[in-house]
Amino acid sequence: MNLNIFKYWFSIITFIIGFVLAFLLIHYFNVNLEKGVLTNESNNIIDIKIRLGEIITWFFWITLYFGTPFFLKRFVDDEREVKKMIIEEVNLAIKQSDLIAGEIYNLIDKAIEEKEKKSILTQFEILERYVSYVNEQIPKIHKSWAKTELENRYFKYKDIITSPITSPIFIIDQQFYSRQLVDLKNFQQYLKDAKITVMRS
Amino acid sequence: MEIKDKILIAKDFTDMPVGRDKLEGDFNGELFLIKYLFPKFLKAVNDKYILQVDFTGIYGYPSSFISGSFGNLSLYLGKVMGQLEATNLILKHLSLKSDDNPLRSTQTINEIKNPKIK
Repeated sequence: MNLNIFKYWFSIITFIIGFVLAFLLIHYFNVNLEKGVLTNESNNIIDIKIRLGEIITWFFWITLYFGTPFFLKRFVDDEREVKKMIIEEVNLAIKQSDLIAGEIYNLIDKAIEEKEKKSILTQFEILERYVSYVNEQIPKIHKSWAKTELENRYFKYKDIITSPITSPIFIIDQQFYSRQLVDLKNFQQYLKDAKITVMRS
Repeated sequence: MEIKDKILIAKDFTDMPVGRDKLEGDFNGELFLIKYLFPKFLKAVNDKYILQVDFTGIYGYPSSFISGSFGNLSLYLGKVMGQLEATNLILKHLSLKSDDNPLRSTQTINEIKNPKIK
């Protein structure tokens, strides 16, 4: 059932129950709090003595009975959505880092032009935002998540590329490509671990 | 101590910083260090206040820019007063802000703590 429709009907039913209870208490009974009993209009104590505490207890259990599944469902749905969003961002980060790897591969043994440098830096900015989001969100659902590990692996990967790439004399050779690939795989491996951590939490 | 001075990199310098020094581009880390960071930081230390450096709004920056500016500030001061004291002094008088990407501040703090000699 759609959560909003469920919420809508739950509110209406709660309102009707509350309204009926209040109507009965006000118009049919006089609640005598001092004596702790219910009386009718002629102030005669009704033969079955129902204490106000019992009514409240019943009301409490009815609310709990209907309310608990509603709140549990909402809680589970919220957490599922958060997990889905984090996994989505992890996938985007992996995809984005693959995109960077592709650009780097295309530049092997070529003079890197200014627009290509800027493009790589832009790709890293996008990747960094995914990583930043993932690293900020995971601790909210998995308390023992080591934020620094993902940061360190990302910075190492970013550093190996963006540190030399701005130099006008730098050329990406096969050796450099292989070296950065190791750091890329280390970084991606931790992203995959993050995904499993989120799925299992 | 309170923040009394600010550098908004995207507005005061550029929204797309490039490399370490002038060989690597016009808006490089070394230029940022000499023109903005170092003089303002010295004033902050001298007048006992915090200088805020705001990264918000920059789009794409290489590690070499951070190394050429913040890393070099840490290295130069480290040579004068010892690396640990220099790191503590910088972190005491510098506040880093990056609303759109908190990792920029983290990377910069890492560079101040462990400046790379290039």
